Amino acid sequence: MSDQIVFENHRFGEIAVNESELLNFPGLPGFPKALRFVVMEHDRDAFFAWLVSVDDPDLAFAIADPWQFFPEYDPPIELRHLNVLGVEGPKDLEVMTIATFAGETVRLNLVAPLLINPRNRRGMQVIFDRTSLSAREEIRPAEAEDGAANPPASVRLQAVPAGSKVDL
Amino acid sequence: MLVLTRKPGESILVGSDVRITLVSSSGTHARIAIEAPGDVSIHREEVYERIAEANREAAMAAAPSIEPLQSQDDPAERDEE
Repeated sequence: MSDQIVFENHRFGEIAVNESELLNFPGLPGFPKALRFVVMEHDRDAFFAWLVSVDDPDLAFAIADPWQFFPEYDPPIELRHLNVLGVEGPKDLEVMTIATFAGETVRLNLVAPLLINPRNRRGMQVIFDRTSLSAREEIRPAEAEDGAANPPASVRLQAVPAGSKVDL
Repeated sequence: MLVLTRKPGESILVGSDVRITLVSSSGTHARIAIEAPGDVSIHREEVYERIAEANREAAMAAAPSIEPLQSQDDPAERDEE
């Protein structure tokens, strides 16, 4: 009601959300002034969701749960990241990755995932420098195409809930 | 920009809680230690720039090409209308 905010995004038009749904980031590399976002899902089973900027009407990222595509993904999250986000238990952490669509291919940025605490709505993009992870890991075309309308059961079964890989 | 000269073992304080220490230097390389609170992110500039560029690319590409990946209405349904 009173805590509802309305903002404009050029992709989605006018968006109204409750203030409690906002995610607060300390900016993202390349977008230091993008502080508030909302996640928009077109479908609960969809492979991709949107991270839509409240502050920049031109800005939206496609995001994906990396474990849908890379079950072995093991980001080296550190205790200090969890402290900054106020993570107190496994339910306080979600890990998403930014997707880039380039022609036929879709790439996930596994080097710099988004860590989100859904409880206090804080998020940050961390950079795992000095790892063998790729900032442009391609999703195999078969996966992406199948994932379009009809995700293959095998991929879905491999999906690991975000956060479950982190030892607290 | 402030430029300072430091010997190995000497530090620079930035604000009250960031300490930058020259560990050693030899020829073209300097080893630098940085102590900062956990919420201060520290990156090699070229790494940070690479991620910034990847983010910009993702934001640019987000617009049209994602359409086929969205859960779509069945096209057949639309034909019937």
